[in-house]
Amino acid sequence: MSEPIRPIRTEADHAAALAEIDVLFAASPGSADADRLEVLAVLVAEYERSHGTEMPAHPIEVLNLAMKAQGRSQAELAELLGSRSRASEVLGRRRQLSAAMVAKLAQAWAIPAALLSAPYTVESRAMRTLKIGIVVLAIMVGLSAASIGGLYAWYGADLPNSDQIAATIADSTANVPGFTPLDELPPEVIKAFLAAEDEDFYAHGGYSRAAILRAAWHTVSDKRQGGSTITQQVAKNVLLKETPSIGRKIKEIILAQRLEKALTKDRILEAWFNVIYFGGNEFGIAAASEHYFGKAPGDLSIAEAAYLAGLPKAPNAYRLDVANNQTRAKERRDWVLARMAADGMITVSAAHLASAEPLTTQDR
Amino acid sequence: MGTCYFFAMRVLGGDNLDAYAKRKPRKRECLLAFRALVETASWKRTRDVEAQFAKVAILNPPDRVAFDFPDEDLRVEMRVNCALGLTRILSVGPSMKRKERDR
Repeated sequence: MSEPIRPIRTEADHAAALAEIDVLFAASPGSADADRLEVLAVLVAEYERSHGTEMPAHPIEVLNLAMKAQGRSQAELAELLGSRSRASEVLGRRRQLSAAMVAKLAQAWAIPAALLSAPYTVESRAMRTLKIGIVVLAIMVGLSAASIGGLYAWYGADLPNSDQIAATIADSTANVPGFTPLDELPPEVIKAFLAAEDEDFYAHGGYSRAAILRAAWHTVSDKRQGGSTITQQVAKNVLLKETPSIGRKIKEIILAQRLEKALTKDRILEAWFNVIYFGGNEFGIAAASEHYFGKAPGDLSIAEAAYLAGLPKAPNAYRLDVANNQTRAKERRDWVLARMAADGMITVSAAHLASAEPLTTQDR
Repeated sequence: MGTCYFFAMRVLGGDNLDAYAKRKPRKRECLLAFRALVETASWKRTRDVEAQFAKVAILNPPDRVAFDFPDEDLRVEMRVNCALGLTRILSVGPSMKRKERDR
């Protein structure tokens, strides 16, 4: 006589019941074994139902699997549903199966209508368009990154490395007459030049993406505007001797990045102060200070420093010694003072006082 | 595998399907669909299994059937008792047809 059938409460009970089911599985209907198998099957099914993860099957997965099982192709589905696009959209889950489609599939391919009728969501056209947009954007970004990488490799191959750059900068500044160390410049002079030329100098890594894009836009719209940081200007003036071009701009950016690795910010700024052109064939802050005001950089007033700071952008446009630039030069000086005040480098009242000073350079 | 009298099949050993789906989450949808198709099948005789799963069913008398889906890289082996409307999942794993095809 066989063991009495017990409820299935544990995994061990479940395993034991399955083992007995395996023995009884081939039982013929109506036999005692079949009856026992039937009861065990009910208990096992109930245990598995309560312990398993019950989730509805996705109608399209059911359709897909049924098609594979029967060796049906998408072309056959298209024929059944009436169009290729309809079949493609259904299989791609971009279109709901309609009641008519479900009926056709149930009748023609014997796929249970109940399985195909379960609700499911399809992607909206807007979401699809968004996804395609994101993919296209990602591809464009990838291609752009690859292009930029290629340009860097191409243009950067023949440029000096960080060590060579450091050596070249040292050689160039060593020969500057009246070389002025950075710590001999009054803070206001440094602030004036940073306000005029590169207020983010101590924050950027050699170049400013925003400034480059702005300059590119102005170039395209035929309104040329410099986008060079102080680091780029050092790279351009000391390390590059080429005429302006897109290629030179790229080299300038590459060199600026290498320069930032080769030298500290203070050393770069010091080099810039000593090589920058101020018009009148005067290079460097010491020469310019002497040329325009007859004094050493350490003796410059805020107003004088602001005037000099406005010169490197376009020396001939603001020089007072060769043309009638008085109004333009004063506007430029006052703009620098306003920038200094706006950036908190000097007080507003100091800027006002300096603006009130007449703009005069020494007679030569 | 004689004449059957039931029109829907009960799946025993479904924990095999769950366990495999846990190991291979990407197969979950396919396994759910497979189970749904089996549970709603009305197999009265072996021929019905063959008819419904013609391209993937491999019969192994007296009561074993393997369903091998190469595209899904899935193989489910089970015993079928059509007369009692029972199926017993024996194993779930990767497709052997696919393995052969790739070899």
